[in-house]
Amino acid sequence: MIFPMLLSAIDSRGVVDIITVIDCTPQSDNWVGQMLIVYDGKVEGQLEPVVIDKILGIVQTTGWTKPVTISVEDQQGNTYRIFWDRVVKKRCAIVFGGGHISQPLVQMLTAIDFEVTVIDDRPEFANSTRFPGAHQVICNNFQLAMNNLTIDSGTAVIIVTRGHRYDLDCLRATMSRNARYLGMIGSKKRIKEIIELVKAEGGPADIERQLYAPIGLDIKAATPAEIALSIASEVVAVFRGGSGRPLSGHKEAF
Amino acid sequence: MDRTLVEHICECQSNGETAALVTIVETRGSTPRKAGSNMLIFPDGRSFGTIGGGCGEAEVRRQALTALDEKRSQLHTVRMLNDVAADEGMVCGGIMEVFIQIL
Repeated sequence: MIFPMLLSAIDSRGVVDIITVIDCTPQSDNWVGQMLIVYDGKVEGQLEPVVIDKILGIVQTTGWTKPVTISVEDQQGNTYRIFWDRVVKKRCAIVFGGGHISQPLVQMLTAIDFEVTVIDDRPEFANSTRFPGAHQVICNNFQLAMNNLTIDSGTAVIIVTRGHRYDLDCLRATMSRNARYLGMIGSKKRIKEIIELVKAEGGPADIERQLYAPIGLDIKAATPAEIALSIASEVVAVFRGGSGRPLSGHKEAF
Repeated sequence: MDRTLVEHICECQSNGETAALVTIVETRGSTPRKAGSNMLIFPDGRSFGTIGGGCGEAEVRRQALTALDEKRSQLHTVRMLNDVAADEGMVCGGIMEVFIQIL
């Protein structure tokens, strides 16, 4: 059975390619609906060996950006139309600070299907009743909590603690870990000081480009929930490659 | 395809249920959902997930029930271009090709 194998591959690997034969010429119902799953260089499922090799060649040499259909021919001249999909591990978000912005922010990130981890060192803020949708709520010192967390190209790091001292600690600990999104709250003036300080300490030279600070899109957010919306929108734009501009094209709409 | 759907399929299969897995494999023009969107349709009419709702989905649902009867996986094209579509509220104006896979 291919689906139980697929499930365990997703859980252990993170990236799994799924190939489905959706059409075959000359018509042959035998192959239509057949699936292959490809992960870690391994293949599960059954198709003609020549076709499997050709598909593997495509999967390994083509960059996958979205689900596509492709055609593969075997030696007898049969053409297989296949659908190539991929399951990728859920996008993750780590939110440092469990305050007023974090609460709506975690709700929004959960709604758009992020696996969210919240960290705060104050028990009254770091508890799961405050963050019902969160994957995990960690009550610990920020630096200690960070040691056990994975940060990779599928992770958004959002630094919104209660004080700049803590923000700075979190930034130091996360800035060289290749997060897809790294955002930090603060006024322009404060951000400038922090960046200068981090650079003087030998931090990454391109920290300004890497760091989204002041955090969020310009929607003139005023309340904690509006700020959360502005942050969540920026995170989506970065993950999806959006411009953050109005789709209407209005340049001075506001 | 996301993990939740795969988990759901595994559950159905271990209960011995048959189902049709519907996947949008290609779209042209404007469609409510894009390639890779999935939905499960059961012989009794229950479903899980959505490929965009409205008349397009209803048409696919009917086709999937027929496919389940015939036990034959097949491609199906949904056109949301003509006046009928606009009248029926399918105003997106695109074409989508779906694969109905009998599990």
